[in-house]
Amino acid sequence: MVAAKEESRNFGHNAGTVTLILSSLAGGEKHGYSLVKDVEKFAGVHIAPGTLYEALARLEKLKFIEPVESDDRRRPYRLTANGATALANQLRAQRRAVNVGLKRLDGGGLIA
Amino acid sequence: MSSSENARRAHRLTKFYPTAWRQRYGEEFEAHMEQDIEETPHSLSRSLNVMMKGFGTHAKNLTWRILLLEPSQGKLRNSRVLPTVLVLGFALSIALRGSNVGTPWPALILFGVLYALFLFGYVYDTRKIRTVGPSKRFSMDRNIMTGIIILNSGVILLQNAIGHRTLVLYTVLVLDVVLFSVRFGWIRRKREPVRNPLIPVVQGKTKS
Repeated sequence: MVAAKEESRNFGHNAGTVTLILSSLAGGEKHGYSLVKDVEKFAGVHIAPGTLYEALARLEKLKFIEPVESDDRRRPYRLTANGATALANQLRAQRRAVNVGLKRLDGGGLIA
Repeated sequence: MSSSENARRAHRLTKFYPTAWRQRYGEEFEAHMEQDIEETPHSLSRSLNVMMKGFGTHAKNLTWRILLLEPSQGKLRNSRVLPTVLVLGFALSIALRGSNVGTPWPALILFGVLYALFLFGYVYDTRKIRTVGPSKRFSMDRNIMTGIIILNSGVILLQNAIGHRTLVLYTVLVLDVVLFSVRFGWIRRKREPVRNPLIPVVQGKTKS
């Protein structure tokens, strides 16, 4: 639990963006632009370039992702084992929160 | 819009970031921006986002460089510290012009902000890099910096009591510049190598 909390803190104030980026990279290595397009497709969220590269730099520093050698100017990134573990823990924590929220809404008769 | 025009605009926006950042991410960021500009030629939110994040990266870099003692980078630090002190001093003088004379809040807020910023640099990075503990000179420098911050706050408190706000503020400013110059002059005169505990040692050499 303590380790999970520590990992969650590593996600920083852009936890939402970081989760989306890691989730996208869980599907395979991608460069910045294809990552943004993938996130738009599965989450309907557009990540602005400055926000994207702030998050990528942070994730690279944390060794959650790593750059892949490329001849192209657009450098692809891939998820590391540490990143996969952190993402799994973050998503589990979010699922717990979602389940509790939905159960309470359901129990209170607030949703149809 | 032509691709060369897109490239020019992407290059211009990338310049909002510090050189070190551009050396690492510049090329791929420009490539990303070119594609983004091609898809959405005009976007104020994109330009603002890049500007804000660029300034944010500059601010982070500057904070680390100012707060971490690295004697070999004395000149670089001097060139950054002096303008920062001046800008902070002027910003402070403007801020205090509208404040209520007789309350200790300006001094206390100043003290809190400066000391928190200062401690953040030392404590956070020391913990993060997990060094064995600061050297004697490093501790001395930390204490001098603490002294300067306390002195600043003390003089502002005094100003609340005696008035002459502008005179006192500019005296503090001049005093700060002198103290910082003496501090860095002293560091430069000591030529023997000093290991900064915050910079990791790689194979017996200090990694810069």
